[in-house]
Amino acid sequence: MNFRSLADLKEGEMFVLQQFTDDATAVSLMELGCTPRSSLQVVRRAPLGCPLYVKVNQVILGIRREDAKKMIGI
Amino acid sequence: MKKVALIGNPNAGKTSVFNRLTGLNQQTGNFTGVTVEVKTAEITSNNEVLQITDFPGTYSLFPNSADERLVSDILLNPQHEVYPDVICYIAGAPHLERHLLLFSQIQDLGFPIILGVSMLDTVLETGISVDLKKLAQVLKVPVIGLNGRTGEGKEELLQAINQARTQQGKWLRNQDEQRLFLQNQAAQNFSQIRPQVDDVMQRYEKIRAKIETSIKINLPTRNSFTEKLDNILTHPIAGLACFIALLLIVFQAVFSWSEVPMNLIEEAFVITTVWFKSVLPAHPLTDLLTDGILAGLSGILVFIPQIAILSALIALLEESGYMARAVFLTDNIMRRFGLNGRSLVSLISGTACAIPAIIATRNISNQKERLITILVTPFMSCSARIPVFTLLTSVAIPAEAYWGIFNVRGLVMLALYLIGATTALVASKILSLIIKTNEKSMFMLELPIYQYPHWRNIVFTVYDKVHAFTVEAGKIILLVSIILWVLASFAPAEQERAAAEKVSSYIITNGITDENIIEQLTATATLEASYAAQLGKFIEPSIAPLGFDWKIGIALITSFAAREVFVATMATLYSIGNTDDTQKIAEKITSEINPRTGLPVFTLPVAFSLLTFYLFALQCASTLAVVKRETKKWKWAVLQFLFMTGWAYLASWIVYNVLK
Repeated sequence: MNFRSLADLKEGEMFVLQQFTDDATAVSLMELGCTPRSSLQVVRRAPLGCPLYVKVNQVILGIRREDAKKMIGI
Repeated sequence: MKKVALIGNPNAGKTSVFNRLTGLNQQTGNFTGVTVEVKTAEITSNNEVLQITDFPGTYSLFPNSADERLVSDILLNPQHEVYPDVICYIAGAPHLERHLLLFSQIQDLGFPIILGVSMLDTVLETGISVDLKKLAQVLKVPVIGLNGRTGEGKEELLQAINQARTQQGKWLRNQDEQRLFLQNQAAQNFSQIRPQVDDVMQRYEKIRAKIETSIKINLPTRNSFTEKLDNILTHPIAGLACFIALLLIVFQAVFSWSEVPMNLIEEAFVITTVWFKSVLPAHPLTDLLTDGILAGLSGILVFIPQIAILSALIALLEESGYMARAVFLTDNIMRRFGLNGRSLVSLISGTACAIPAIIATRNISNQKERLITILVTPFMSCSARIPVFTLLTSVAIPAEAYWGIFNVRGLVMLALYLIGATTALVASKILSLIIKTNEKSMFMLELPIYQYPHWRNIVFTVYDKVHAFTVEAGKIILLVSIILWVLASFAPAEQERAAAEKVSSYIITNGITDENIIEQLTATATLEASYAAQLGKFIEPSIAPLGFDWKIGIALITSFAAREVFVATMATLYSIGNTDDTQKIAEKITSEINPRTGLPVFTLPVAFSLLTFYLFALQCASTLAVVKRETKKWKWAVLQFLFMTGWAYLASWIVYNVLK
């Protein structure tokens, strides 16, 4: 059981989101359907590694790396 | 009159519902002090007048952008002109849980509310089906299934709006508590984040518990169509390749498909002008009609094909869901220049025409990035510069000049396009360091599922863009054209007499009888004596450092409204009847001798200096009008004009002095 941020995930890897380290990011992402205890998958990265193509609760999101660093999960 | 608000998340299918309900009877309104545009329409249903407002798509009442802020502000202000009596909330079936977040926040405010569920037909793609009857029971509101493609559900929706009554559904707070809570939040500019986190978390829990029995999820075993397509379209290499290919197609389409209709429009104006000249008596008022008003109108209408084609293609990319992928792919690169993934679409469109490109920036949600995109797009070399570039390169460079296997004229043209694009990027970097913003620089992008486009929506978008351009920008272009016509056709009495005498003595001494030549000579003499020429001579000292004489000064002034007028003015100045023959104008211009120095006026440094000037200067009244319209302020249009023209002056001066 080790905590990682979404930005650490390799392509195709999944984790279960536990918390956000920043409230403003939390609100915006939760409004988009990305809530704690959801499982997130980094499907791929855009050219030059950012943003990330993330699948969560049947929603596909583009998340920049600096925001992904604020998303902690197992 | 009943005021109805259409509210929902972005990509919920709200626009389709609005278009279905209202038809073409839409008005784009903007409220004082707000830069966001909102569409409204009045319709009559069951003997009741409904004023329907299409609110900007928003994810919650805690705003992240100016668009979203508008929604919260209106719903908290009962005095607002579109404060709704009834809310028609549109939610998409595939993401019902998330879309109900904003719904629950609004339901707590106590508005009579109707829930319209769209995209029920995507169940095959997403595996999510919704039981509308059960949903209506648990939410205690009328629930109606809507299909934007077929119009299904429209009548039921209108009926529900007529019968709408106050409801008492409660999620977290009662009506007064919720209003107070949001007013407190708004008073602190939504900077208190913790209560927002709690609010959102608690709402999701309640929503999940409530709708559990109303939705059925059968996750498809195979990857969905959207994911398969995204494997290619968002791939770092293949995706970029597809993106570039698509851009080339769009670019090509705007250029080549618009050629025939543009020529037809110009032809039609030529025929009309000739007809008017033949039936109306020769009189200054006739000239005003033909050379002022008709010429001005033609200058406006000729852009319609390009605007229509470009906005149709962009709407197609938006509707299908591809545009979000383009933004995803280019965001990182564009961000380095202070722009946004969406800016690239405008910059590319700008190589055809800056006007539709600037209108297309409305898709950029961050206001600072949008403003920068608007300000730098005119640096891209648009199609109106092509005639000027062609004329000047043929003056400066012999047709047979080759550099290796490349024709030098072609290389110069290519270089001009590249310099324009580079300047746009450098300028945006500089602007991004200067312009300040209070907006949170957050970027979270939803990539919606791919959908077959709603053709109605595309038709409506094209109509809206073309209408806005012709009416709003058109007024200003027409005015400027008329002013320029007056300047170019009238001369101070003394000069006019002198010019007439000069022409008649010239005709007599040279024994000219051909009426066409006499007409041309008169036109040249009139223009040389006109107020425009006085202005040209007046500004000559200021343009002399760039190597320009007063004749070029006239062309600079007349082409202020539209660059392509340069060629026509040069033709009149050098007495060439047929302006289509660029080669002939080029020959005439090349042989022009400066009476003071005895040297040719159009030396290589002058031609290149002039090319540089036209490359950078903002000589397009239409662009200025559109920038004012889109930014809602003259300030930006004026600053942009001064900045671009100032830079053009400086760059021309450098080019002229280096080459001299």
